[in-house]
Amino acid sequence: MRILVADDDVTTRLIVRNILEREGFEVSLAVDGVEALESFRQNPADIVITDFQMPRMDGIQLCRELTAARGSRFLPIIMLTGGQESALLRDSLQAGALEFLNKPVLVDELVARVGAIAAMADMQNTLAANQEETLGEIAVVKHLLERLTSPGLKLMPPCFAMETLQTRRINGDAACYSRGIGGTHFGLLCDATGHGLVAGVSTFPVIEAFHVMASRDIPLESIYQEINAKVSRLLPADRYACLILLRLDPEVGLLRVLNAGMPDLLLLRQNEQDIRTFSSRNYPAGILESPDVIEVEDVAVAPGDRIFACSDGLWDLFGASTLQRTFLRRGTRFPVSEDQAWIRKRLARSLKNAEQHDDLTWALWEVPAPMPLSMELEPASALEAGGPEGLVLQFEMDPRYHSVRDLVPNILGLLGFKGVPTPVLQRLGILLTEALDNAVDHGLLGLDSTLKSRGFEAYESRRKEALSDFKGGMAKCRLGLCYGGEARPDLHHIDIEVADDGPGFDWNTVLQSHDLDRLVPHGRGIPLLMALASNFRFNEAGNKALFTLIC
Amino acid sequence: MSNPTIKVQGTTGILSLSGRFTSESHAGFKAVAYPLVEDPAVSTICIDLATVSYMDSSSLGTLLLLREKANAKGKKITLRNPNPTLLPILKMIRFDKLFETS
Repeated sequence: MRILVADDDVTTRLIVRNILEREGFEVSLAVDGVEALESFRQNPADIVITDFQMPRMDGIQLCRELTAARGSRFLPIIMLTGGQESALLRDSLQAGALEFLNKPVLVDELVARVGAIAAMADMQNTLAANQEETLGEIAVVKHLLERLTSPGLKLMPPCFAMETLQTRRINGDAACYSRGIGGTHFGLLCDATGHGLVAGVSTFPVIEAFHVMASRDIPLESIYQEINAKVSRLLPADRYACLILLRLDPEVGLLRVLNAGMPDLLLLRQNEQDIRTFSSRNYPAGILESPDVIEVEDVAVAPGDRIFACSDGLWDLFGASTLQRTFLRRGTRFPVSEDQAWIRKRLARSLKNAEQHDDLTWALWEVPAPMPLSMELEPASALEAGGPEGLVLQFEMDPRYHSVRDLVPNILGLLGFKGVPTPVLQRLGILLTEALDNAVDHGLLGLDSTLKSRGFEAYESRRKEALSDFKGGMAKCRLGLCYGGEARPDLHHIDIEVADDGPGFDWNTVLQSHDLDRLVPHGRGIPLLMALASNFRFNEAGNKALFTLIC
Repeated sequence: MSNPTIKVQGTTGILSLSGRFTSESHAGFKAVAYPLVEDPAVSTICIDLATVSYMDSSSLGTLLLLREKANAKGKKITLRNPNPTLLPILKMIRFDKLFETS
């Protein structure tokens, strides 16, 4: 530790230097304030001891100059005085001095005073270094969070807005978006316990699990289970993460919400004066090792409807009723981008008066119009199938124990390992999901798809009943991967058969009554299959569908 | 948070908290709550929140830790008298289901 001693009296300078050097300090000397200031600017000391009376620049002026020159550093200044004159003491303190020593200097007193102040300076320096380190670490975590979330957020359609208002702190908030298979949208809002680095790091497993699973269109319940398992496994018992998971399918107009410990999600339907709320129905991730019941809510939505969700920081800032009122009053008349700017402005204004600057995370989605199906169609040149079948996959499932939505992503994952390109997998995913859903819901469970016109909630509850009454039977799928032969080693097409143990149906009538321009929620499956696949046909009984996906 | 107080009634240890229950309260809470978990005469620990004005997420985490410790000893934790601002928060994260709440 280095001490700068400024005194015009050569004897004092030398005595002080000898004593301090014996105590292990490094000492530099100055003959007056000007020289002391110059020395400090070139090589800042940790402590300054200065005489009160000096030519050119006195001790008080030096205090003022040093206080300006030290910046944010901690710099204790000890003033040497001839007596205890109170006006002098006051001026010195105001100018920035910390301590006084009487002249003539007594050895014991000097050693004791300087020793105490050196300890204090040491602690301050350590604290400053730690703080710098912490700020550096927070910046790294923020950077990583940004890297994890921003690629997804860039894919959002323009009628979506999701963001975390950046502060210098971290409190475990994150907003993520992912595109599912076949035009579905997935969203995640997450709020992990506590503040600082631990909270920031806690969100990593949540975000990662979300991205991996949502992009494969895995059901929200399964995503939640995986996140819950990860958080329970990786984090200590007092850590948990509140989250909202969203899945929006504009094609069928269905919003699925899984709320685990977050404030109510708000849904405002276009032209309605009512807000529907979706309260938390699940434990935050990481509280129970494996929750017995996971509750998701389904609601039918139409293009133009608005969804708003936020973390409790925002909820606390405005209060539930104000948020709902504002959301209702604002309505759906402005584009989401305009509302986004408006929300930012409102937040900036409110935060000026708020005592704590927590991260605030929110999402505003407007249900987009369904994409026309033809966008998905790439008219592939229907080459004659050449070469032998390269790989045949066959599987059967009983809907009491397995769900189509869980199974299909696993099949796609397997084929992904076999080198089937992603665009093919995406189309295959849609085809398999649709065909297997048909086989299970209509073939095995005997549900009438026109039930859907009475709303998806009604359909889903009817489906649950049918499933609990179900006595058994299989939905079966066979995939034949055909490669192009020696001249064309690439995957050429996939032959698909989807069958069920049900009695079949009168497919002739159904095929005639559907066309692609009539996109209604029910009966969408078959036209979609016909549009995406080639050579779509049924067996005579109507319990097996056969089609080909040209790659 | 002012210091938590303890009263043992039969086999129930009542732990009364007051004021703001936050991350700063953790040490004080632990000091009185953990001995209750170890006390063989106590089978239920009742946490009285009547005069708690605010709880942050880390204090909720503190309750989870206590629950884990208590469950390992086969003991029960109950929460009682949460005030009207606290109750919705406890419900939101389903603590009303995790701990017996009255």
